[in-house]
Amino acid sequence: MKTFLKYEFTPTQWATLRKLIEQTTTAPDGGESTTWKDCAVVEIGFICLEWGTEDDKPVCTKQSDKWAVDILFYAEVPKEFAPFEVYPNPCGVHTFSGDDSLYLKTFCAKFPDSPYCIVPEPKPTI
Amino acid sequence: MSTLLEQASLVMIPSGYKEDVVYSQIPTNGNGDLSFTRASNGTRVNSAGLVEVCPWNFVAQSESIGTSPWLLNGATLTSGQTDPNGGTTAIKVELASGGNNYVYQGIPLTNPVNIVSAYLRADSATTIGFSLGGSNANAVNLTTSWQLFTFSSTDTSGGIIFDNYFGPSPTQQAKTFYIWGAQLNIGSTAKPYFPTTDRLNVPRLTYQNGGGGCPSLLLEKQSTNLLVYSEQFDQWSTNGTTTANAGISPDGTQNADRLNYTSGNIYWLDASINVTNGVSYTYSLYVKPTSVGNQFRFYLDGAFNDSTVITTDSSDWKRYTWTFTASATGSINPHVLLGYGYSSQSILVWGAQLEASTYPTSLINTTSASATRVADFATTNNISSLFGSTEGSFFIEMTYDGRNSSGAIPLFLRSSTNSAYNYATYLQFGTTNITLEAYSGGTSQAVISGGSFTNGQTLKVAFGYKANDFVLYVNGVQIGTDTSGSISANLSFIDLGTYNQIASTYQYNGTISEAVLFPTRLTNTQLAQLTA
Repeated sequence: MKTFLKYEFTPTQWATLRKLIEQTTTAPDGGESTTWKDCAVVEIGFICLEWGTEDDKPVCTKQSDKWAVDILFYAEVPKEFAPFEVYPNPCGVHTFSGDDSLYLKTFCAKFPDSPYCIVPEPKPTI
Repeated sequence: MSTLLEQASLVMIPSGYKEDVVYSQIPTNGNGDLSFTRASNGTRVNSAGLVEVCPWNFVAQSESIGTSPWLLNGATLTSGQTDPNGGTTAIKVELASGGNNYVYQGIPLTNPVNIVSAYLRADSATTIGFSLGGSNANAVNLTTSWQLFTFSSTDTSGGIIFDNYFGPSPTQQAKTFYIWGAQLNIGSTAKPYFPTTDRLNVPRLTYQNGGGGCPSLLLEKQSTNLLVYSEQFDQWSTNGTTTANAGISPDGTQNADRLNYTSGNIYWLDASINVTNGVSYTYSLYVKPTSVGNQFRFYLDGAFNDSTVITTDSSDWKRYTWTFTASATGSINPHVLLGYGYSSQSILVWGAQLEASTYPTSLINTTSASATRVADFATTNNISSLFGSTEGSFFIEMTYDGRNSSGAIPLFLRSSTNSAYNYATYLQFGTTNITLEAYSGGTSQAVISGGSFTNGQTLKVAFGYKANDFVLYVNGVQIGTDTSGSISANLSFIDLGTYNQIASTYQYNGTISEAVLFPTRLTNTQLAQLTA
């Protein structure tokens, strides 16, 4: 059972919570290696909320102060992450390739009346 | 070689696969099959030399109609029905009368043409709606025999729907029918049916050199295409013009865009992306020029400026790449430029990618959002019975990639006692060489290292192990021996692609075309013969 969720944290919150999904293993080169446990993580960073233009080039005029993170969980989602879930319209600024329906599933459970969750009605033309 | 393979306890030559599994030829009871993990789509080069999404069937749960993400309205489903192959995987659908009752799966579509197919039948002749997208209803006439219904559509506004709402004056009658094997693939030609469940963990058997020959298993690290609309350049900002779907692209469908050039300086600009100072990135683009020698320019501005001029050297499609290191942290604007004093003409383009990597990985298609392909990994179940208890040998054929192999662990023989490296026997690449290391109980027992390889070289690597008798061969040459040490105790698992599924540092990026386990220590002559 895989779950695709989106989060926003303050840098401090993320520094604390990421430890819940990290694992440390001794590496063949003798050092310690820290990786994600039972999940794939993409740190999107501070998302630009508003764009302007300068010399016809896009310039970010308002940047989020929250650190955006997409996580594809392969096992149960730690409950500590729940308060930081965010639900941008599918699929936001990032997706895991081919996993849009996983995000749509959680999105539509939260917002069943969203236009993204309504089945289009074919026009009876034939 | 074939005589030697008869002595093997496990032979994996990538050919047969399905979701989650790469089949081994030996043993034939399935014990040696590899579980495959990659919880996202990926692309490969198929046997026709075309870039293809794996899996190519965009319908999830193709034989489990009703399981999420299928949506139902006024539909009663009964599973376990006889399917076209004589199995019991078909689904009976009973749509109630009235309302717009349906079985539906939303599928994000961006390719301009897509083709959908499904096997359908009914208990008595009837007509149902079987449509793709949200704009036009398509009626199909079912008989009591299974029939494959196929049609293509340019409607990308929705997904696949079976319903009772069709015809000029929809009567919305009750309908009973049977479904099996729903599929949607891009383009106007239906591909062979590929059964799906969650569409994840599909091995990529790739024909990297333009198709033909035998496939190999593609294993890559996690990577993110930071660009959006990787195939839809008409969505990029420009001061010129773009012709959408102007040519056949490397995926074999009519979805390559033309960047039109007559004179002056023309730019195409994708959405801004954030980069980090000191991190290396690779920008790649498939290009088919008007004529060999046409030039274009990868250009960046924003937090810093950088660019490179590419001179095309093929009249056919070719993927051109540029690796750069960010000299500042911040937002940059990725461009493709024509003109600006260079020898430019109009070019066909497809598959733009920008990733935090010192080399290009396989294409990750994007639309309105950046997209990540997660890492590939393959492992066996506990197959201790296939390992010799006191000796053994292993043969693996793979392609060495000098750009990314340093530190990579393509093969990891894991102990059932402890999954850590210091209980295992494994191969690890250096910058230009390879190392065989065997541990037992936390202590190094044998180390053999050597060789000097060139980028893209096919490596046939074999090693034998027995107490105080270790040897490593590469391409017919003995790299070295180690005559002191015990073998790793309780070897039970074979991992392909990385060390214990950790850290991209150890991720093998490349292909494996054969992996063979022997329960005995082959002779040096046999190991040389295997790798010659």
